[in-house]
Amino acid sequence: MIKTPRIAVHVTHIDEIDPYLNAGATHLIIDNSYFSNRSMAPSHPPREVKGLLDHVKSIAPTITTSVTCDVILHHHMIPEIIDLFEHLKESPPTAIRYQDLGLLPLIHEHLPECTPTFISETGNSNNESLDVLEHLGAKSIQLNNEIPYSQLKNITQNPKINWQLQVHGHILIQHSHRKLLSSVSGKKDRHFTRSEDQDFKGRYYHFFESHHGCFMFGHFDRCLISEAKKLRRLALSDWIIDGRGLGIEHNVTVINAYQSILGEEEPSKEKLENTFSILQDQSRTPLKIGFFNTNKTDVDWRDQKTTQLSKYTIKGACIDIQKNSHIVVEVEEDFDANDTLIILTPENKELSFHKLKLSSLNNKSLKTTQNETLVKIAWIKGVTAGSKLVKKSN
Amino acid sequence: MNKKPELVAPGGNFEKVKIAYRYGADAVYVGGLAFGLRKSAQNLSPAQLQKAVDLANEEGRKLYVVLNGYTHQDELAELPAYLDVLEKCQVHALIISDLGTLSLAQKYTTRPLHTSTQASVSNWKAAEQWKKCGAKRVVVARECSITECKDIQEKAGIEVETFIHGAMCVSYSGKCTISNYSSGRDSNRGGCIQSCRHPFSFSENGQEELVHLMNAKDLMGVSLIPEIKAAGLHSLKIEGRMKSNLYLANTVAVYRDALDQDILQTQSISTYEKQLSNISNRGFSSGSLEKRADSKNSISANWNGYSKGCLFIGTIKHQDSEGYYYADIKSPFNANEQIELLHPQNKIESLDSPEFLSISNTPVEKIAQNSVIKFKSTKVISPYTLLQKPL
Repeated sequence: MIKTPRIAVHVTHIDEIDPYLNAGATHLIIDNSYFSNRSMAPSHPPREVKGLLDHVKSIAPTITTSVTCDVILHHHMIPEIIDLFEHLKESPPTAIRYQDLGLLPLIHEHLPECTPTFISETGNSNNESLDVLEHLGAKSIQLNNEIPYSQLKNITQNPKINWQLQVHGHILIQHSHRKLLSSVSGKKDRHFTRSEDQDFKGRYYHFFESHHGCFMFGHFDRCLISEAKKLRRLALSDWIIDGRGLGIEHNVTVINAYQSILGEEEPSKEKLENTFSILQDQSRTPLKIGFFNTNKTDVDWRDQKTTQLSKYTIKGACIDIQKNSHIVVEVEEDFDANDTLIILTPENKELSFHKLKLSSLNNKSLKTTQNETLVKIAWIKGVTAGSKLVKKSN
Repeated sequence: MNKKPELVAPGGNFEKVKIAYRYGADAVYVGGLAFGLRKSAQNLSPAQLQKAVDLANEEGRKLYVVLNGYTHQDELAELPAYLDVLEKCQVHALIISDLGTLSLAQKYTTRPLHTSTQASVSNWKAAEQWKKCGAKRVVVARECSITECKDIQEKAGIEVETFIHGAMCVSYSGKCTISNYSSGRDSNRGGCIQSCRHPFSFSENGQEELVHLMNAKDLMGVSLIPEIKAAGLHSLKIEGRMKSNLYLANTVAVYRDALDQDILQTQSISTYEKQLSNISNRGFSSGSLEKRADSKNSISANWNGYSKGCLFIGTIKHQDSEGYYYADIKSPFNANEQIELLHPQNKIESLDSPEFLSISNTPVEKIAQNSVIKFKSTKVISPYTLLQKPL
């Protein structure tokens, strides 16, 4: 039986706590720009992070809490992070969220009772890598947004890990350590701005900058409301709503939406459509499911040319084609004039022939070739520069 | 005395592997038929990998193979067979970004494992974790300074390799999926279309501004070699498996020369920088090697094209018994234009206006792209000497 997932949302200020809890959030993630990579909240020192966490606990003592500490770690940050962990020690959160593997030993050392939650945003996940993360100490993992449903289903069958998934909100698509917006006049730290890609007109991307660098978000936000039925079939511990920087009213609507579909075994199509409309109406960007159903970028994975080449032994490269006369071949591996050879063109055409008319560059007839020499063969229609002369591998 | 770092160069195809060794690389990194990040490079077949390893062994060099694309679940089953090929070839190391790939590589090979810069390791504690998982070396994030690299190497007790030259990702490598979302091609599996280099429009106070916001300048760290040697960093890497023979030869030759100097004079640095700037580039910065890169020092925001001082013309392939040199020409030129030779010893000299002949012995005035020509010269020219045209 699949457990009901928690609805998780980021909290940056005391004023957000009650509205989010009332709307149905069951996991509050304390977010602070000091330690959280792309937090849009002000940068507060450790005692204020602790203060906010303590406040959450006083209002809702049984709720799941976590603190985001997902910076890409540079050495100068280590003392600050240890200071944060020491502040949290007395009354720790349920979990610490991290993405840099270097933080894991610090979590183990200073907050051993906290659940280390690995965030694989923009990263990669396969069963092997997830096993390694588990072996290193991750107890909970937020899976990246690029994993399609079929794979999510497979991954989440491992009950030893609490699996989290972002169901709604901005999709981070690039993180630069460089502060880039200062090249645009008048832009300052913590600026959130929208920009159109001039080579993909009509696509507006949001950029945010803080002392951690510049972050770029997708031209649409992720929304999995329409996929509620599938979503409910995944053994997820947490549905993450990333509404950072979008305001209390926005986030309350989103929490309400997801909480309402959690409450129904089989939400109707009409309800899902209506809920989606409500969310789309209040969103500043188009809402889409992204790669949730399928990720076709996989189709582009293999290099067709080199895969094709793997069936053959490369004998040479055609480097000069003189129409109706000859082809100059740079020999990579010896071959004989009697060999049955194939020419693979850059366009992936295969031209098969045997008994080459083989000669040296000064027109002496050759029966065989030598490595790293140039030889001539008779011109063959369809062969272009860059074609490979190959022989079928045994 | 400061230790000399290993110079690691890109080998986009088998010819480039030979060029890299000829011009002074200690090691070359190449892609195989799968699991790499440069889908469009002419990656090496298993037979070519074996030949490249044999060549490296003969010359006392190293050959590393990249497996630095993000391996997805569906491909995991294919990985052991490929690892077996790499084990049989006895390549000198595997460069890996995914923890799962690393785990399988440990299981199926005895090859040393290097963590790719794609893993964005930026601190010694993360390096320790990779070491714990079996990595012998970490190619650190390009956001690390020389001081941070030194700390990582010393505190984690791991070999550190850092990039010294070439194109840069604007993002932390591996922390980018722009191509995935903008074009359906996977940034981290060899499909990056570099849409980060596009112009973006920003509206400010009613005015629209066009900026190449994320168009990172190329990295050039030749002036920092004394600091790098003093820091004792293990290896320096040159980016560019997709770049021309001339880029490769020129860059390797300059860094070889610079690394071999006991004391690097200001005059020499300036000469090296000029020579490196001659090859097509997006403007240069020292990235984050000295201090954190920012938009002012490391972005070509007002981009108006590549800069270059010379053009790659071709590669000398062979000399016949009659003394003719044969060149594989990649860019057209006229016989009366000044052409220079870049020799493997990093010596550049003018070619003495020879008569260029087709291989049918006809004099050629306009030399075409993708043709083989021959000529005689009073200069001593070895195979893989490069021809360039000053602009």
